[in-house]
Amino acid sequence: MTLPDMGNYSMDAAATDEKTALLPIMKIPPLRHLFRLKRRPVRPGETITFGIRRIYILPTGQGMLFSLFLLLLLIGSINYQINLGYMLTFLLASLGMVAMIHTWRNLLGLSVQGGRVEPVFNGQEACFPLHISERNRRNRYAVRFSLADGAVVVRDLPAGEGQRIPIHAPTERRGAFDPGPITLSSVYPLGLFRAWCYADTGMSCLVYPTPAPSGQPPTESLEGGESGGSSGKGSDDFVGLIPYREGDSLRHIHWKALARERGLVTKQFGGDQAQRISLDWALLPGMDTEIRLSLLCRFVLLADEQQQHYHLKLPGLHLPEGNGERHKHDCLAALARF
Amino acid sequence: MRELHEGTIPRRHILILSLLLIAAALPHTLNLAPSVMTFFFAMMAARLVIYQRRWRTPGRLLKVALTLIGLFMVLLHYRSIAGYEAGTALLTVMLGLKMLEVHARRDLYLTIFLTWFLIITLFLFDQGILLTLYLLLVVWGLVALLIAMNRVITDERAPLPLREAGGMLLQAVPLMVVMFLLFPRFGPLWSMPFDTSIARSGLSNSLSPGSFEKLVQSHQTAFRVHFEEENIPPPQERYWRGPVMWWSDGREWRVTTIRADENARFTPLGDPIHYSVTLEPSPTRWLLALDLPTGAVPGAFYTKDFQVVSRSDIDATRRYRLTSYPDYRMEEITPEEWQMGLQLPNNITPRMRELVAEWQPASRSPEQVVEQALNHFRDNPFYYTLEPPGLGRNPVDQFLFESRRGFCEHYAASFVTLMRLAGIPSRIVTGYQGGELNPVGNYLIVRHSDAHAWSELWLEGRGWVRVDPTAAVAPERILSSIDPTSLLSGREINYRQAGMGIRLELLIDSINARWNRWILSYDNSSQSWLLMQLGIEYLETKWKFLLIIAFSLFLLSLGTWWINARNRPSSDPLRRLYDRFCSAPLLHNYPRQPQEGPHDYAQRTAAQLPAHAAQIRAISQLYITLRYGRSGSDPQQMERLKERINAFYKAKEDKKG
Repeated sequence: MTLPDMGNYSMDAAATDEKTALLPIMKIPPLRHLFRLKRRPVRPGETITFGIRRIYILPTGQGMLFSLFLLLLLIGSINYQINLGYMLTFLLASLGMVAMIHTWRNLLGLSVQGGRVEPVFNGQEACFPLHISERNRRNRYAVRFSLADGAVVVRDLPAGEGQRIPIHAPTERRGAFDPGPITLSSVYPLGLFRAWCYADTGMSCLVYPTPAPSGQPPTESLEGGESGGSSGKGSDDFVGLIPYREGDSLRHIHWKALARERGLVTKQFGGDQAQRISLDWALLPGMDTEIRLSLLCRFVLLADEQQQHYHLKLPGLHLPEGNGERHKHDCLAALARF
Repeated sequence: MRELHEGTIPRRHILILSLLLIAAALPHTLNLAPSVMTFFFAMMAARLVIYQRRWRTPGRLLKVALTLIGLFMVLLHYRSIAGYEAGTALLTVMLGLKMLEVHARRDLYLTIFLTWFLIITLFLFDQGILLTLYLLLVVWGLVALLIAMNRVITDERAPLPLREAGGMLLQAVPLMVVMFLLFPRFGPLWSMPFDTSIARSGLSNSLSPGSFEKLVQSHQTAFRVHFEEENIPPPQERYWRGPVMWWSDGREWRVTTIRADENARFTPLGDPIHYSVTLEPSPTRWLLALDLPTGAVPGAFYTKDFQVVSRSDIDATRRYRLTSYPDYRMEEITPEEWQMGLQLPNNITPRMRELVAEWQPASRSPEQVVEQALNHFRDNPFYYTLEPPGLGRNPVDQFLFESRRGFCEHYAASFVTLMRLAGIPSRIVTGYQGGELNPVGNYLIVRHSDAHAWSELWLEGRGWVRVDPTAAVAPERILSSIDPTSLLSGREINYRQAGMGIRLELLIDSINARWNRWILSYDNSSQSWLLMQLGIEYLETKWKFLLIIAFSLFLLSLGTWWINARNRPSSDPLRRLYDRFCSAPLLHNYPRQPQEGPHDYAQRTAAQLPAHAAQIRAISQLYITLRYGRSGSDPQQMERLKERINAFYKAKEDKKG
């Protein structure tokens, strides 16, 4: 599986981000260092550790409500001149500050690494596995992992342990699906502040087209008429598998396939001219591009299921004949990226 | 596993919050109307039953009905929802109702925040140490609940994270202390309705037979006095001056006018006494002072007759410093004072006039008249008792000639009346007399049972002179405090005896005194004193705020720094050096894989960066030797490694290679 090159894209994005985010005061050389948050791009597979400059923090809605209550408590204490009221108010205010540090600390030092993303068909859920490791021997609580439009996962991270966290996102389009950075956030312990950081893991999911629900490959190619090749059956070379028909020799039944619950299929043997399937874009004229791709996707899957050899022809691209997992993936990937 | 930010909340959290809320509201049973508290506890009981039986919470109609009932309960008792008592009652009722409709996380948050508000309202009624400690436990529980709410709930029965909550509260203490000490104290932002329905014991502006009875039975502390020097005045000189009364209708004595007078002056004769008084909240505005006070008191003024009166209500413990001169002289009396000092009620009986007339021929000077009068009290069978017989329409006459039993107020009132008959301007001074020296904290505790009334006479050449007729009858009263309970149980006079119990009581009082002095009555003057101790003469309000902010930021960055410093997975210097090597800009595009050893990594990167291959190999080899070799961490080698890595870190990529 190949991943799109996103290095350039994120480098630029990060550069502009930094420029726009800096207030004039933050540009004073000694201060600049203080205010700059790191968001440099990473390459796939690189480990990102969330250091001091990668974590953002802001109060939550509850935090705002909390500060409103603190103000009320303070006004009450001032008006009735209750020193113990001042004390409670200040205790809670300091507690808020302490909570801020704790929230920030809950993310600090975590390392994440993007995992291998399996391709999916359009409409299925893509799964982005994030490997996270806690190396500071500190329990982390309720860390929330989320994608911009994906599922949210909340996990406790026990001290010193690593975990694989699968984050699911629905797919809507074929092609390379870049989910954007994964956001790790936390409001622990008091829910008054939300700290978050972005994991630009560079993970991307290849989304194959949706296989068409029905349709048969154009007969022409099945018969292989134009190539003049014979599909004559023989018994020398194994050509492929076809569904069982009455009268097929029991010796040629593919028992292993039956055992794998693929149904009753017969091994076909032919001479030097094995049966070839040509999956050609040009043979599906007058249809919408997506429908064509969907049909081709279905044909690839069918051909693969029948363990036939097939080749794929798209405008400007020709994948030579082949079979097997690797070939199937190459074909589907070509369809996905078309 | 439940997700956070979900609408529903774990049942257990509702139970814990209910219990904490009950705990927080419990002390209010002493403060609020029973009907209000009954309503609150009924709501909480309903909540617990709903919890237990897993019933549904009440519908909207029922909730509206309950709200109206609650509001009615408050209005029924307090006739309003303003004022702090009614307001507190309303808050309590509404919290009870709120618990019935806690569904989502934000309901829990709101209820927890409101409970903090409820805790503040408790301080309006009582600010004792025990209550404070109790409420601290409640706050602790609430913080633990907040933490529990923000965890992933895997186990509904998990215990409250009390340890974490306690840790966080402890971490919050330093900043709290700084804020408490530095936050400028200013007056109310707007005037608050302060109900007068709460009876606080204290002196009043009138004196009539029996008005002291309740007061002297109270063992409560009126105020405490810290003397700045060693010269604590002896018991017989500890007269704490309060309301001064001039006018009488023959039954009641009253304070007539109170106004600031710049001309309240006297000539001090002896040494001054410097002291500070910590006054408990009082229903009146008098600040008690030793005879005769001088020196400015912030927020208070002097009257012509040396009453020190606060300009605002004494709702909270108040601390002030004074200087007094026990020996003094005054030169002049104004005609107005002369006239007021001789005012007589219209129920003077002939036998009173006769009594005074008897003394006059034998005495040439007013002093001799006074002596005669005191002798009269001393020589005739007058008794000092707190249970005097009831007196009728003319208490002075009846007391002087019939019952002859009474306490300070009777003696002072009749003595002043007699002196006025004799033509000596006189007035009644009420206040406290005596006080108990607490050896634990070396200060004086003055209780309400020390309340006293005495008289002052104008004697030419001396000024207003204190004369205490009670001392003539019961000198022991002046030398030592009375135990009012023993007086009430029939015996006529008895003195407080020191025993084990008393010693413990004194120790507790000394703790209370510190609590009062440093916490409850901590104010601007305490703040200035503290800053003075730190060598800061004066600090503007804005600087106090800035200091608080600066300190907060300081603690914040200190915490951040400390955590970050501890956060490094490795504190091993060799490892840190190697990490620096791995993060060199040159290797930016070839990150080390987690499973990759230093040797493999060197091979791979050297192949990618042929121009730097030698450098990479040398560094890696040195690192491996230092790490796994026998020589251990040779400082010289470490230094070499450091130099090489630094050089490599700064190196630019050589494209040509």
